[in-house]
Amino acid sequence: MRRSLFSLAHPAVIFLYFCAVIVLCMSTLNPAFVLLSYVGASALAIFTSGLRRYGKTCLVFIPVFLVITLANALFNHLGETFLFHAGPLRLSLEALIYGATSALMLLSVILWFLSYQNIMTTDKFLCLFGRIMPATSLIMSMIFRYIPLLANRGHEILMSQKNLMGDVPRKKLQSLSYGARLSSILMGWSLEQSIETADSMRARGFGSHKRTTYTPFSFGGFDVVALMLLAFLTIISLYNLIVARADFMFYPYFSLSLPHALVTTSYALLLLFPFLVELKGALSCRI
Amino acid sequence: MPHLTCEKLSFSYPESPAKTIKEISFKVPAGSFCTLCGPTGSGKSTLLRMLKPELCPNGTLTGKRTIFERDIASFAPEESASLIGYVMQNPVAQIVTDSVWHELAFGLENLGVPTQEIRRRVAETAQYFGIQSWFNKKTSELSGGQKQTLNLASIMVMQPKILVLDEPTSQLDPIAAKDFITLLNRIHNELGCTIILAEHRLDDVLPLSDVVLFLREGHLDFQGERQEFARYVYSQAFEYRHYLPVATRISFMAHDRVGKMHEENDVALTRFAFTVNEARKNIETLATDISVKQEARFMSAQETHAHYGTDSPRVLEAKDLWFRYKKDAEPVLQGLSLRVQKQTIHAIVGGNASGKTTLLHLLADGLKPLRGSVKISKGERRGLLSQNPQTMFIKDTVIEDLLEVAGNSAQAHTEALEQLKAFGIEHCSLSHPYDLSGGEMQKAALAKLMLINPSIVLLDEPTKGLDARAKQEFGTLLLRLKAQNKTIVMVSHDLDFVAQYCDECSLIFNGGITSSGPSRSFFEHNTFYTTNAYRATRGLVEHCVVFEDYMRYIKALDKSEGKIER
Repeated sequence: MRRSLFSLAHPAVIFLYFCAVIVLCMSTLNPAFVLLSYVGASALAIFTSGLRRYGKTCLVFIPVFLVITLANALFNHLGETFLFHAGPLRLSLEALIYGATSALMLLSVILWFLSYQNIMTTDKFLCLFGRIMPATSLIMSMIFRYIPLLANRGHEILMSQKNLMGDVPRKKLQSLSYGARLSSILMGWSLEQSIETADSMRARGFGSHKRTTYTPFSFGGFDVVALMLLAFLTIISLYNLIVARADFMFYPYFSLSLPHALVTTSYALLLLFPFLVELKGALSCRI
Repeated sequence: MPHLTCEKLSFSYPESPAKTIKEISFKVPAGSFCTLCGPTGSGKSTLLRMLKPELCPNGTLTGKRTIFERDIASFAPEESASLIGYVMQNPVAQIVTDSVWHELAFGLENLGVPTQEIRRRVAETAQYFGIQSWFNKKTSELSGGQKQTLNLASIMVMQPKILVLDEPTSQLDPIAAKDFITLLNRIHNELGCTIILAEHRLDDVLPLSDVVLFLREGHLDFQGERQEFARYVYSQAFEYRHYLPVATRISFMAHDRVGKMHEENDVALTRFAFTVNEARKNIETLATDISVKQEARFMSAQETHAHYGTDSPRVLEAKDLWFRYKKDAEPVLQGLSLRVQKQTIHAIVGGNASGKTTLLHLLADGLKPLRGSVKISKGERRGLLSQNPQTMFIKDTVIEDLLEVAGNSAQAHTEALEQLKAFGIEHCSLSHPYDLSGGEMQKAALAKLMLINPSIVLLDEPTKGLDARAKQEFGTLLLRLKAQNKTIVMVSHDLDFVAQYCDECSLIFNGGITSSGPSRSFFEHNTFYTTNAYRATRGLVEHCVVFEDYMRYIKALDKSEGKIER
């Protein structure tokens, strides 16, 4: 995964960005906007997880897209422009476009979440919500510490026991009891080790005072500007959403009313915000 | 001004009539480096824990213990947290959170330090300890040495005046252990922090110590400066000589010899060696006559030659092994080949994360290689003892655990008991496996493993965390197994142990075996990756890889002197 400049922004900026693009994406079915959102989501997904992973994801997308589009086209008879007519089967252009648009919307939301996962790591999430729920954020951090630890220990126990007791048996009942045996060792060992963890916590004054929550992220001048810009773009796009939605309809006749150019531009700028950050970074590097 | 004072301190655990700590009095001056040593079970950990109110074990405590002339028990938790730092043995278990930065901030968060202040302190601490390059990593991705450095740093971030460490390097490989001790020395010298360190691997620690405390069965047998400590062990506690650094033991022998030559040889005036460099000077003073030296070198060299290994049939062979853990990962092993001869102890040595453990699991058939094969001779059976003996136990007592493998008949019971006796741990048969000491637990796990009757025993770091005596016992045990027609392959960092007990030695580097051979010649061909005894005697005495070889040289010196006099 490439480390984008955008991912270095304060978690609040990142969180607001993703909230805005995902909510906006889900609340309009204007094909122009949906397509725009899909392009934006694809660009960011390619940037954060690489072309290869994006390509693999798209391979899964194709059948999903086809199924949703066709299902809507076959079972929805609201459109008036018929493409195909055979007995009870009527295929209208409107229904086809509606299906394709809603499928594309769904896929772009998935893509947005893919990038969200790449950029908004758990520590960033905890930084944002740690203040509201300090205990939970510490517990989360400890859990995330325990997952790889238990996995490692489990692997070591398996190696050790395989050697002592032979391979995991094929029969279901026996393999169950084998598994119980492994987890019993894992529990015993981990409990024993956690005494030392508890000591280490107490030695560092845990429970002696009301805790403060530290995060390594600081809210700087860049973040203020970025947050304001994001808010501005979001408000324009939201306005457009409410107003332009009325102008546009699928049924009975499909009418592609293109939204206002200024509004479209601001929506596009919002979607491509991470790239704006990247561009600014590239420009300032050149000096 | 004394910083830490203990007066007539005694302690006993509940339901135990015997005292663990018996009337101990000592003073540690401010800013000193104090080493607490003594055999396993002498009460080192208990004593250290009593210096930290939150960790003080339950039991009856009498006597006085003060820091800055205040009773230790009177410190409030937040005062104690920022005044007394405590680093424990296990690098993994001490880590609380998932990321390095959070771990560093954890203590300060607990004390309610404001975010801005935490930011500043975390930053400067990370800088000082060289953590910047892995500051953003997850704690699970760190190496053992990095983990322990992180534990130290996350204590130091609270700016304690006293740093208490309970065998912090016992789970680390020698290079990481040396780095850690160097770091401690820096903290001591640059920050003036008082350090109280319990250790049994004294080679690196004694040269730095101002104060040495020697604890034996709960008694403080010695306290004082390190030269005095060497004198004390030299003249009074002979049985503890093998706890001392090789360099010091070499200078003991030198002292013995010089004593024979000059009547007026006062122990009180001798300065014993603590580093390899000092020991080398000591060896040069052993004899003045060049012809005596040459004769002795020749004689001792001839004697040691008899100890080189011979060829015997192979029982285990790995050919062109390739292995990687994940699909896109760099292979850990890249075309590794290894041959193990029957009835030998074969050591695999190499740096951290060089793939030693992976190789052992491949040899044990626990992992499948990407390419290549592992072959064993017909009728041989492999048994693997992993790095943590805890992975072997499942029952509440040692004997039950052994019976689980041996079967539940009366015959199995006697067999298991005999096994425990043979391993010298029959007194532990009714204890819970987790209650055993490191050495005992290691032996119990091996005893259990031997019940499945493997002819090839694969051991992963069996001497990790064991003190000198436990190591000696374990080594003897290995030699006995070898005599019972077993083949032993062990992965180890402990070069002194390997030199002493192993027949063959292979160095794993960059995914392959780069050199392999009889362990003697292996160590003699290396300059850096070799034993302290060899470093100290290199160029002065031939074939002196372990301390016993050096003793042989001393004997040869005596003989050749006698010859020339005649």
